[in-house]
Amino acid sequence: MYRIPIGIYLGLPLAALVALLQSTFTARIGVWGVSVDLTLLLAVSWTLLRGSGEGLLISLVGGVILDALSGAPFGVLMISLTAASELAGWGEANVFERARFLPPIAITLATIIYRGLLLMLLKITGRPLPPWPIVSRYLLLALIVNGLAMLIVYRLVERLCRLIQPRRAEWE
Amino acid sequence: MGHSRQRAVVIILILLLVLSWLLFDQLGDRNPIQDVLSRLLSPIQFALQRAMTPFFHMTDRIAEFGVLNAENKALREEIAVLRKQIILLKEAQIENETLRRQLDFKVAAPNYHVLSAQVIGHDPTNLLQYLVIDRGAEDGIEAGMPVVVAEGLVGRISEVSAASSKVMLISNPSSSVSALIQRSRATGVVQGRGGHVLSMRYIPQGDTVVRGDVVLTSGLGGNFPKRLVIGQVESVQYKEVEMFQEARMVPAVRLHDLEVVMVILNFTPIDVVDEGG
Repeated sequence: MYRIPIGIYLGLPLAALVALLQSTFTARIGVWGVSVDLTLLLAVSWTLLRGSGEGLLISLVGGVILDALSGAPFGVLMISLTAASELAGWGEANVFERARFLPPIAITLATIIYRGLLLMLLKITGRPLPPWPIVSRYLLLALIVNGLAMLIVYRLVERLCRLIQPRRAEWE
Repeated sequence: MGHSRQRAVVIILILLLVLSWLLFDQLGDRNPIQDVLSRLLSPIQFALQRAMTPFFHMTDRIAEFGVLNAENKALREEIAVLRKQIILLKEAQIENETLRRQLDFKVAAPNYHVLSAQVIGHDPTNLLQYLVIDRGAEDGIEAGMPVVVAEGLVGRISEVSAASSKVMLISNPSSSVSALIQRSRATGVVQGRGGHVLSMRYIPQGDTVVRGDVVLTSGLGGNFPKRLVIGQVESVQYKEVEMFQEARMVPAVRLHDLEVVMVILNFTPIDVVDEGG
């Protein structure tokens, strides 16, 4: 029988809160105009620690809120975030989960997917994009900023996950 | 026997001492025995006094410990209250300055009917250059309305909800504003580049543009009111083979640090183009 893990009841409001925090607080603090993708970090960390099922829900809720707060066409951020989170889940499923190098690799790939897909979808929906030098600097800085922030966020999510119900086994 | 004799000697010495003390007291102003004793004792007294002072202070402190503790607690509480008041006063001061600048703008441009709005969110992608403000359709906000601060143009309303609106900043790549250079009256179009800089394009080759030139809205096209400050020219790109010059600009407004903005309510844009197009 399918059981909804209790952790998700905590994770979903947390995702909403983090998305709001990203819009109101962290979006103002940036390195040359690029700030940390807090919701992406939460979604990837949650996926790595508690599986892709929960990670997907986290990215869905976070993505909806980000979409509502951004100027992008609705759904663009949600799609980018869930795709990036799924990729992290694929990594988690294929690489030994306790590997120390997994979080930085996962966030690097997730950032490329998230920001890359975001740019692509904006282009498809007819939004003019900044010139290539600005876009490339934006991507590079996002990789650095997210990579550094992941060191803290992953630890915090890991501590939080220890407090809540142990992870549901995927074959249950 | 020996003991009785010793006791008698001591008693006699004491009596002699007392008698001589009384005699010396009667004979003159100063008592030499007292002088000798004083000379011997005063350094010892002084040393003792110094040695004992900290002890006396300590005992005083112990006696006052309860009082001091309560006083300390009360002072700490008072400091906390004062700190909070300082923070609130600083915030009030900043708000006051912002409102004063807005008032200056209202006085300088009495024809505009403006509505103040708090910035409640920023675009989370860092790519699309939007702001979210706490005023919406319920407050009379409509798409296309210009958004300004005292320093100059911020952008225009792009989406309106009941209680909030999104503002497309002039730095957004979709934004284009008809502009003119204040000094030479050269016209062009200011476009966002996605970062903290703007481009003024389509400046005719014959017009002179120099670093530091102030760029204003021209009002052409009817999207924005005339004479709002957009920014300053930072550098000029001039190529003889091209029809137009292009200038790199810095916005007059620090677009990413805004807390309060003003929406011009009584300006109806003539051509509201969907920012997607």
